[in-house]
Amino acid sequence: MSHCAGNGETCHDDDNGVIVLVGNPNVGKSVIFGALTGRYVTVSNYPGTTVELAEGRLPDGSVIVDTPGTNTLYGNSDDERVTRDILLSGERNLRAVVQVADAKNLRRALLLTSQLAELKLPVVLAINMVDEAAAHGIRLDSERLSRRLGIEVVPMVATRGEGLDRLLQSLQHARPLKRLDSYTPELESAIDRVEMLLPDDLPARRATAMRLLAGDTELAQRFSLNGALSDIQAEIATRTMRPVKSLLIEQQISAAWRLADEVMTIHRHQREGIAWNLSRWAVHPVWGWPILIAVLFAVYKLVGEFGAGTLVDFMEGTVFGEWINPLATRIVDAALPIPFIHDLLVGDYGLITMALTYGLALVLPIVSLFFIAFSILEDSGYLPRLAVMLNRAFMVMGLNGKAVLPMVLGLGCDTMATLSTRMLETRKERLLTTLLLALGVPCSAQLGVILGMMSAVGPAGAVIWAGVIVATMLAVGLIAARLLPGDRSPFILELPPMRLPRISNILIKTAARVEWYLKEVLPLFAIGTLLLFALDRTGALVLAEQVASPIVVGLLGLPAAATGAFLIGFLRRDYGAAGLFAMSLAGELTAQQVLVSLIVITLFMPCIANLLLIVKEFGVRVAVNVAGIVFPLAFAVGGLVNALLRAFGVAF
Amino acid sequence: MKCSLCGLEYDENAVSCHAACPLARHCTVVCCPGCGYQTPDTSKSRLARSLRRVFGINHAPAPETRGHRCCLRDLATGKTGRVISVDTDNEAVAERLLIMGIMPGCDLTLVQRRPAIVVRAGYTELSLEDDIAKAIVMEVPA
Repeated sequence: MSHCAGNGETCHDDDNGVIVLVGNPNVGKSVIFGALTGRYVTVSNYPGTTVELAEGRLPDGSVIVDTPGTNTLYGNSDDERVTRDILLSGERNLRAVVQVADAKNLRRALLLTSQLAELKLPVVLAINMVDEAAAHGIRLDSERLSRRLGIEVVPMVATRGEGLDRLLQSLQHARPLKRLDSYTPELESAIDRVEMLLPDDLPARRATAMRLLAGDTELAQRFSLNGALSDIQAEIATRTMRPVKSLLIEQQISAAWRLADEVMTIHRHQREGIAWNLSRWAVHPVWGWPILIAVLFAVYKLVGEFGAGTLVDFMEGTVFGEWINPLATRIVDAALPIPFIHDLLVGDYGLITMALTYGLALVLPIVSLFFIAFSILEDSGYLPRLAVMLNRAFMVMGLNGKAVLPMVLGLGCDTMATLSTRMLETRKERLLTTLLLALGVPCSAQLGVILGMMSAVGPAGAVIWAGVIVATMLAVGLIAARLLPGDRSPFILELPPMRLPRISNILIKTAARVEWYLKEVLPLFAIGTLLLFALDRTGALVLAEQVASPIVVGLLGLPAAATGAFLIGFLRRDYGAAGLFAMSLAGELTAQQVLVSLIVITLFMPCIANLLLIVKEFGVRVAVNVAGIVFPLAFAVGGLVNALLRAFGVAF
Repeated sequence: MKCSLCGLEYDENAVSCHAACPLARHCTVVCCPGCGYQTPDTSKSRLARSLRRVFGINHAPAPETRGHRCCLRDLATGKTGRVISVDTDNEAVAERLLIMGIMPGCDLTLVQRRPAIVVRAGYTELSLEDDIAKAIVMEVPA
């Protein structure tokens, strides 16, 4: 899914040479990529924003590729293999590698640098966030570092655009790195021996050999080296009592640390400031919870009350209800007075009166505000802290706290979040997270509509809704974790510093997401509407309502008309939710019915795109299983809640 | 323990009120030997102990952890120690810790224990699960 800037140009036009951005997670690669290409890729204050290669073009026309953040070139997760392939395979004509480093974490950056040195590719080192480092009292001697590494070193503050010009110029002078490590003789001879086994024409033979030694079984199979390789690995392991990978990394780290300490001076220890205190409170065993609740409450106030209340009232009641829809009806009737056209455009299931009204008046105001709120949370660095707070709940579900990140991303878009499960280390965790995302995590568009409908059921209803959803996810997670083979990976999560979000980045990011929504979601709304229109015309809708009546009316206790909402809910559950929201606004649902329908539609699969992505990532069988679990479960839980509400005579 | 009334420092385990009193076995208060002022002994109360855990406040570090070895999990919150070794069979864990800068010789500060362990290594803040924190052996300066 790589994208190209410019129109009609192919991406693999590598004649000018390709430039690759690499670096540790959360050092600002995406910011630099965006600034260099003018193309927006998601920028956030947490690791794992880029899960696939993004491609763009520099002002001079050469291709630049942004890679997912990685701490080592020897990693074996899916996104790390993507980086491996572009650096080692020699398929692309690489002109230079730009390593982006966080000035505060130079030691870790230099570990990656020492691994890059083995590639013998021209490198430029961009040291980002020198302002934050300075605020911490860290000073870097970039000239000395440049001399020691033998390459250009460019200090930058990418978010303010400082150093970008110098970076562009220095690309012309990119040179291969001087090697910083000296490995022990036994390691050197092992590297040589593996190198001898590799084909002569292979670019980056030594780097490939080292990766193989570090234990890349997939690559070993490609060169059919498994036997010979494991002999060499076993030989070293018995002699040194350590696995080869640890030996390699340890020696690289000690060289990196020595160099970092040489060029870095810490001239004062910063008094711990507001950011540090905030960071502590956000994960505090006691104060963390009120903060979490306050954050959720603020989001609800903004999205649920202001967005779904005030803005939607204005957009639906005034803009569409009084101006656009009557005007469109008059124009259509005057220009094309054919009943079929009338119904198609402005009828009950009309493209304007239903698809556009739902998409622009009901959902757009809500998601825009949610995008703003979510961007603020992302950029402040709160999300990883949320992972710390919720780690224990996730352990129950057989997940590591790191799975919180895809789950929270799911509140933005479940499809994106399913893609980002690639950062999880075991297949079991990926599957579990994908299942739970599909089941219970409402995406922004849907969450907005849900928050809007919440006003009909009040705080008690909101608590019941949240309780049922969380309980369902816990139960499914608990059972699935027992049934699925495999292990939970251990929880080690870096907490990026808390930062004051930049208004410009929030607006840019919100704009990019709104554009995504308009481009990808609205067409699906139109398709759903056309489908309903066709069903309505052919009389199939009435039939479907009759067929589904035992479930919708009998089990869930909803009016038969809700069938239409559930039908389009198969395409996108937020569109289904919008249909229910419209019914609720029109007073066709009682509070209990709103609650039951909310629970069912929340537990639906997110959208058709999500299902297709699951097919792509895990295959048809898994996708069918996920859908086979999710849909029946959604109706079953809805039916159970309906029965309980009735049995206890709960009223709102 | 220091008496909050008269300021006398005394050993709460050897106070005379407990030696004499028939109810002393489950008693969670101690009387100052100087002025007789009663103070709750928070280390004896189960409720106080669990609240301490919730707030992540430790008892005064046990004497054997001073200048001695203990695992990261048992370090007092707010204390800094030096990593001696990482004893784990899980290579992936060892490698991730290594990359994050946790290796023998580096300094670590335990920031908090709950809801998850948070440590600081240089300018990096990390959250770890208990099992990993148990595997990291630290030396605490006296």
